[in-house]
Amino acid sequence: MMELIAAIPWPEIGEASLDTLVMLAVSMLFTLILGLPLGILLFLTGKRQLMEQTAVYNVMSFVINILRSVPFIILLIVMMPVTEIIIGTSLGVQGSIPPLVVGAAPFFARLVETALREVDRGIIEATQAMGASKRQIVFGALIPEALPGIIAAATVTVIALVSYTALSGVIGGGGLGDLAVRYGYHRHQNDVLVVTVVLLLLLVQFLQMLGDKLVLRFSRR
Amino acid sequence: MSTILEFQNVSKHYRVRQQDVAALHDIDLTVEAGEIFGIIGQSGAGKSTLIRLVNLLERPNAGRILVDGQDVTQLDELGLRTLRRGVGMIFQHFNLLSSRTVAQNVAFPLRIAGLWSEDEIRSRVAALLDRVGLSEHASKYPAQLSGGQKQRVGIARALATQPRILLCDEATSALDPQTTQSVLRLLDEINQELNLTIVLITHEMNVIRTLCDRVAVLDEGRVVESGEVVDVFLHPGHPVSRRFVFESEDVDEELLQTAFEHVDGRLIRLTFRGDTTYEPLLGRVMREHELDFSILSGRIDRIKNTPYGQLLLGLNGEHISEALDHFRHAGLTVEELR
Ligand SMILES: Nc1ncnc2c1ncn2[C@@H]1O[C@H](COP(=O)(O)OP(=O)(O)O)[C@@H](O)[C@H]1O
Ligand SMILES: [Mg+2]
Repeated sequence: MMELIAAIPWPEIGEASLDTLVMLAVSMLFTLILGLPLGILLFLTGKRQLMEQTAVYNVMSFVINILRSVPFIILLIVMMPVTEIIIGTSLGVQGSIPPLVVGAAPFFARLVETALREVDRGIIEATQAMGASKRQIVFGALIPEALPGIIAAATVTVIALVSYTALSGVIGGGGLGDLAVRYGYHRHQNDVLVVTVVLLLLLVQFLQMLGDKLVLRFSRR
Repeated sequence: MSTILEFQNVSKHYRVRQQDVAALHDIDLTVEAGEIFGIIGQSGAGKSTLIRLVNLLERPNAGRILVDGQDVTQLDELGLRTLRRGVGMIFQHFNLLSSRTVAQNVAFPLRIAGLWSEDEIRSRVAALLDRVGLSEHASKYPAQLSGGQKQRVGIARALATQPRILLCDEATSALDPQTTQSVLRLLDEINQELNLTIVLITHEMNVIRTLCDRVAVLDEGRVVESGEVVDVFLHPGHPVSRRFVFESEDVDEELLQTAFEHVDGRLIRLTFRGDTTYEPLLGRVMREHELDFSILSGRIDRIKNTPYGQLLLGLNGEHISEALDHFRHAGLTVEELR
């Protein structure tokens, strides 16, 4: 037993874990930065909403659907040249960020749109009736009211990103996925495979718990 | 009194699947400053559409809507927001922000307007919550309140920017009868204290009777009857108005026609209102004109602050027409049904 544990390349696992966390944090940050405004815009331009713009909505919606229907592994490959232009390399932690964001942001935007649609129309109307501007309605009423839903959406997204980061390891993104492929697949070192899976599982558990806690914290219903 | 709100020839239709669905036809209404004006109608009659035109939550397709003499349909973005600050609104389902405390909900319109300092907002919110009796619930969230309390928050919020008009869209329809009464009482007090004009819509005649000075009856997008509540309530002219009145009184109109077929003599309906309600007129007239009478049905109650009585009498005797003249002279309304 002790030998088994000793045979596991712990320093490498530590490094890979750190890489995964960095990928996750940076890609989630950009997913939020891009996906949140996109989701809000998607909601606002929708049918019978505050800034109804059917053409704009349809275009955005179509692009989001395309991006969401591409399997992530394909997106990784297709994105490589683009990533090289943006970052300078399509490898390593840095190179994995653009495909992760492009994969996750449309998904998150759609979930944000859904969360905003859950807000009672009456609340928007009451705020309108107070003489609020559109900006005040969005930031004063819509987003605060949808916050628990938006946090839940972010939780689902970040967990999806965990599996995306693992997958991006396959094409040289680094992190735990990369480790699992190198040791587990190429060298048949199943113990390393198990350790990476357990670590990913713990990460997902932790993120879900954190998300649920925050949702509860912001729910006043 | 001066006019504060006027609908002139207002029509509104909705577009549903490439088709126009008419909601309001040629509405003409005038609301005087300081009065409580009720609009009653069945579900789908167009009440919500009508009241939502006042603060332009809906836009009319034709006609003018004047608030304080100004046509609201001509206002630009900024003008509209100023108008809305001067027109409060409360809703059937309260529409409070669940993410904000009671105090924050009441402060919300003040923050939106951006015309007051933090200190002013705090003291104004405190005063409003005190007025509606919710001071101790200031830091609770709406989900922790009862329906009646939520509507009080709604009222405090609607009054925050000191509007001149308060719109009530079925404000008590989600409340139990007792809570309804207390909310109606609050509205009545506020109307008097602030000289606030209230426009309310409802499908319940009792709300109209308890609170309103004047009423318009809306049916299929048209005003079919309007006037003083006392008049409409005691002498409803349109079948729809009649149905509302009789429903609220638990009277079966058909039964009234047939139930007294076997009763001898003339059938007369007398309506007293105001102080004559309490005078011993009936006995005096009957004695003087030597008539026999039986009381077949009757109601004595108040409409807002006016006491009234309505009696259905069977009369026998020689001098019935003299007696009826006597009643008319005394200010009663006499209807000869048979
Ligand atoms: N947003 C809308 N879109 C389409 N039709 C509507 C809309 N709002 C109301 N209507 C229609 O207009 C008519 C009047 O509705 P409403 O004003 O809500 O009546 P009430 O409040 O008296 O129940 C109804 O026939 C209703 O179906
Ligand atoms: Mg309605």
